Amino acid sequence: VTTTPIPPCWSRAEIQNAAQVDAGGLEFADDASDAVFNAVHQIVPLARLGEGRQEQPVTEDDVLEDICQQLNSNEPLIRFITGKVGTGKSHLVRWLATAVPSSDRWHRVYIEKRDTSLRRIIEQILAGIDTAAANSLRASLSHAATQVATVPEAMLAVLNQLHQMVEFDDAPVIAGQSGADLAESREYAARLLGDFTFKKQLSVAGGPIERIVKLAMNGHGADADVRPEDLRFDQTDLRVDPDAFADVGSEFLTKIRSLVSSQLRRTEVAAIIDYYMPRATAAVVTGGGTDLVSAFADVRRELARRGKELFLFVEDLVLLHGIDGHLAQALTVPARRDLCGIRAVIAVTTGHLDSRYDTFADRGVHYTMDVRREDINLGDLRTFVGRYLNVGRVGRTELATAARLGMGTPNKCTDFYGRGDGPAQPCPFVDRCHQTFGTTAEGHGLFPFNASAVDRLIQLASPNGFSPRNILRRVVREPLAVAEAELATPGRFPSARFAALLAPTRTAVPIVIRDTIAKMSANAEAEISLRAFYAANPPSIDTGLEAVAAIFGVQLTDLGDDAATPETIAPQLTTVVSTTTVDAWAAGKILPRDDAAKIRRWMIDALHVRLLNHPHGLAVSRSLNVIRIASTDINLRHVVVENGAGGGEEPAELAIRFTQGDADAVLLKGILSAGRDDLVGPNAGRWFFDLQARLAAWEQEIVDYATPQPVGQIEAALTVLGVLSSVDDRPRTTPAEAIAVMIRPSRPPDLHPEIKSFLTHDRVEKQRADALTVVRDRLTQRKSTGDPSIFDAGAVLRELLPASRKNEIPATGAGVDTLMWRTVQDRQTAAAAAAWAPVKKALNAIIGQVAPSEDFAETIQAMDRFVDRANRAGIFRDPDASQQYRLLRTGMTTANIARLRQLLKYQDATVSPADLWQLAHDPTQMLSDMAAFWKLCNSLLASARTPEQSSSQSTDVNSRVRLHNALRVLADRLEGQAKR
Amino acid sequence: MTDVPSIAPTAPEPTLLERVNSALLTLTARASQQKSETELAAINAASDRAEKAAAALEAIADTAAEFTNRGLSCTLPSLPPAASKAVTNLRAAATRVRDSDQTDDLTGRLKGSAVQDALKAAENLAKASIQVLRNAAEAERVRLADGKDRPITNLPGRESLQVQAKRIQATLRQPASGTTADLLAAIDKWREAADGWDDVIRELERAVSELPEEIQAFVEAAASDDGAGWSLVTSTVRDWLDTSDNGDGYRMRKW
Repeated sequence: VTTTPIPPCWSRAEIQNAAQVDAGGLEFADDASDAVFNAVHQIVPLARLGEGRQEQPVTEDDVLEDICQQLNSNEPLIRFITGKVGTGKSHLVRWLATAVPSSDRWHRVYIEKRDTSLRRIIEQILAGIDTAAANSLRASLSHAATQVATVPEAMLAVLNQLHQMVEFDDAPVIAGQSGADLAESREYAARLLGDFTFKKQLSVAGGPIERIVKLAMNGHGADADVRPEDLRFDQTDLRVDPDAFADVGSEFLTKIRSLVSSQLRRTEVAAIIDYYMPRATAAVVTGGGTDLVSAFADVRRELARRGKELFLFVEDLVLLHGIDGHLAQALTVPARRDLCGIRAVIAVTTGHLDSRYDTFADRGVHYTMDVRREDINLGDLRTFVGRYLNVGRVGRTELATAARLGMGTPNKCTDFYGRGDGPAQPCPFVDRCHQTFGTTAEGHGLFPFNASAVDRLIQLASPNGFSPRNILRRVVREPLAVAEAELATPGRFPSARFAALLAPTRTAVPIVIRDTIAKMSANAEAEISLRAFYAANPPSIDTGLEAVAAIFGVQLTDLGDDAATPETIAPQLTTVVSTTTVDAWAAGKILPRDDAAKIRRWMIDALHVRLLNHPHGLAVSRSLNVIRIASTDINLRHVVVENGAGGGEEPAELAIRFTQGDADAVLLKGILSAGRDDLVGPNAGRWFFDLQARLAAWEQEIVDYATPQPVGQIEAALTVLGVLSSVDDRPRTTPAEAIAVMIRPSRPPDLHPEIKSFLTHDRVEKQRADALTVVRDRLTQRKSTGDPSIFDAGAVLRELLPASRKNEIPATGAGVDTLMWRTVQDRQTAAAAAAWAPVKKALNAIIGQVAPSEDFAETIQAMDRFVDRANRAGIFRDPDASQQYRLLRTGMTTANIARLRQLLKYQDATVSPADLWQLAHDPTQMLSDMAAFWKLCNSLLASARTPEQSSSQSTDVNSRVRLHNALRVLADRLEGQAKR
Repeated sequence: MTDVPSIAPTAPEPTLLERVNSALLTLTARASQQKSETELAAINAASDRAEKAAAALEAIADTAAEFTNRGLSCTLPSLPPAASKAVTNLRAAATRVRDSDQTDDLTGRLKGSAVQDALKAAENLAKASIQVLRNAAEAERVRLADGKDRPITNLPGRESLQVQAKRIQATLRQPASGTTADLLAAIDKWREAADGWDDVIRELERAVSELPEEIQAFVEAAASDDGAGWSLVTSTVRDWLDTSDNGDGYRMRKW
């Protein structure tokens, strides 16, 4: 077998197009889409539901004949294609629409799934009809579209419509509620819907109203599932956040509480909302005055006039949510002389035709597509996949060309390679490819799958019934996308991403083997995938698998005994399912409480044994499942099993952790088997040694933590005590004062939170406790046999004062390398950085307003004068400016300015751990106020209106001369009159 | 080698204190400007009042002199004792204005009581003097009008005399008004009217005296407010009325 790789031979875009979630994604009445549709179409089993829902097998042709039969009565011919989501209902409707012979007698209306809003559906029904009712309906639609152009507008309109309907409609029975019960529920629901906060809660992004309104306005995306439940309103949609109603009245709050706490209450309210939701949505999206029944009658009259029948194809009845009631009513009206006959083929999800549609449903014949996968033989399923693979290789254009030329669907492997450049040639890899990967019965190559892989993937994608949608998604689209990305690199495909959603841990390969391969193979992921999916009998190697691996460039590992003795070997195609709880855990499930508890207990037992035999010299004791080593407790919580039930809250430190995956799964299997006295366990007991290494590391961590640090140096302990008592501002002028402060430092009540956090941090408190222990052990003596009670500071008398004045751990010293020092130093450094960050930010804000070099006091005094005079002159634009200034000015005390000046020294400096204590009293608020003050100063200076230049000039000389003369002359006149 | 372009050093940003001081100076300038405007207003107001008062006193003096020339006696009032310091104060203020520096603010002085009282005193004196002149003129009018306010006989063929006499009466009934200078014109007008009165009245009396007695009694009675009684319309009177359109100006009336 040659190892030359085979390149991807398909186009991702073509695969994506062909394998959309269903036929509804393909554009209707488009040549290329039709060619793709015909190329992938495959007959699937169908059944007609008879009396008592008895299934009677039929073929597609039977259905086609049925819907095309001569109408012998006036009753509408209605055919329902039912089936679960993704069973191909739309596909069949589309096939029927294309297979129905062309006839002038039929006016066809085809309602697609893709991007179909309520408005578009009605417009499609009215297409080509120009009557008064139809035009009125169109106008109503157009008006509605302009009234509610956006989703938020439509949501509000729907909620308001709902409120009105719930409050004033008089439907006597809703979802089993009637009489006084319904009246009470109706009143309750109306009260809720009338509340602004409640409406906001329902209208949140991603909430139920948005979901329903978006579907009504925009329809379903081409590649989205149409799920009936998305259009329904149920009690889970009423899980509102009670905190959002904090400001409502007590009466309403009581209602909300009952809604939140009672599922029964929610169910009742949801049923009422769900009952009115379609009408409310339709009223808003299509316009309140829409009368589909009348317009539909117009359509039928017009068609009767033209001598035609209406042939209606609906890809999914769910799309009609909101107008389905009208449509059902319209479709059940018998033909008359003036009303045309009706044929309708309607796909509908099983269960959607509930009691509300009884009349409608009873009028039609039901075909079901809910067939069991076993009813389709494997060959047909491979053919199903093979056709899509071929379409992905040939492409829409070639398919459309072939269809136009009247040719059958070409096979890219054998017919079309090199087309256009000469005679048809087969693919150059075809012989080796088909020999290695195989073909379908129609000759389509299965590359990059082989038959086993296709069968296994289909089984995983469609485990129960036949779900073509899932097969297309999980078997065709996603694995091919992975293959296209990975095939270029030998040894990479098929990686863990291959079929990742189907079998994430590739359980066909037992955990132990996966773990072994992971440890031994250079291309472990690809090998595991190959063994899991491509092997005839996973995980064993066969010749077919070897050939595939060679082409993919994957080296298969010789597993020796492991491969010879796998835990579980599936004898047939069926993928191995999880055989143990640990297998399931490795596959992403929760490890059950019992097993998790056994593992935790076993680990505690093992640790206890190790601690007892370890020469660490620490006191070890055990009480039930709690091990006490020195002063440290280890219990079951310290054995953390990811996604394992029970166990309690994970501790912050000293835990051993088992992560969900193959490697740790092997260890857990070993632990559980050891618990059953099977000491060998998986992988021939190698797990035990791996686990011992983990246990040893865990034990060492615990011992390191629990061991009192070797603070042989009393100076180191005193230094730590001194540093940690730095916040105490009591005097330390004598050794007695120093020791008193260090032993029992007081903390100011307004201590900075970061400092408080630092001082109360577990590790720091432990170091302080250790330091106190050292002091007690070294500097105290006991009377007789009593506890140590006499402090003897003689040996450290000279060190006490310097140590008490230390405010950071020195870079050099007797205890520099101790854990105690490092811990305190690291934490203090971190605390200083955290505490100074906001302070520096505030200082920056101040510097942005006033230069640090300025004399703050003088500037403030000048500002005082300015504000006073400017206020009196009335030049501030803001009348409250002066008041604001006075308010902020109160914080600019001499003491605060001095504090600011002091802090500014640190602005450009690197903060040292000792600087932490500068912030014992948190200055952030003060600085923030100061920044606001200086900002206000600048703002006031900028906002003061510039005095307007007066047009009149200052007193001139002429005015004074005039005055002088006038006064003098007047005096003369007076004097003259007196003389007369 | 290329010259390195010189870059002018950019001026450093002013400190906050510098900006505050600048703002304070701006406020001071604004206050100063406002003060100058107030002072100018005060100067103009004082100048206006002083000039007006001086002009009034000058006109009063001139008019008083003309009264004397026309033989009218009038004694202008003097400043009341309480305002005796007005002249002194006005002179002191004028001196202060003359000697003060341009930067000195005169507002306070001009609005002070000394200047304001002096101006008020001058204004009051002018008002009192004008009233004295007006009283003197009115006395002259009354004198001239004395004996001239009587009925004017309506004599056919002598209507122009009658009109002239009534105009004179109207002029002498009109009291003096207007400015001080208008008083002189009024006095001249009254005197001219009084001078013409005697000639008109004499001519009119002469024409009446030439009529027969019966007609004379009728004409005089008809000129009175009560009119002439029917008994005065004698045949002589009737004939006279019928002659040469003499009866055109008469109407019969019944009370």
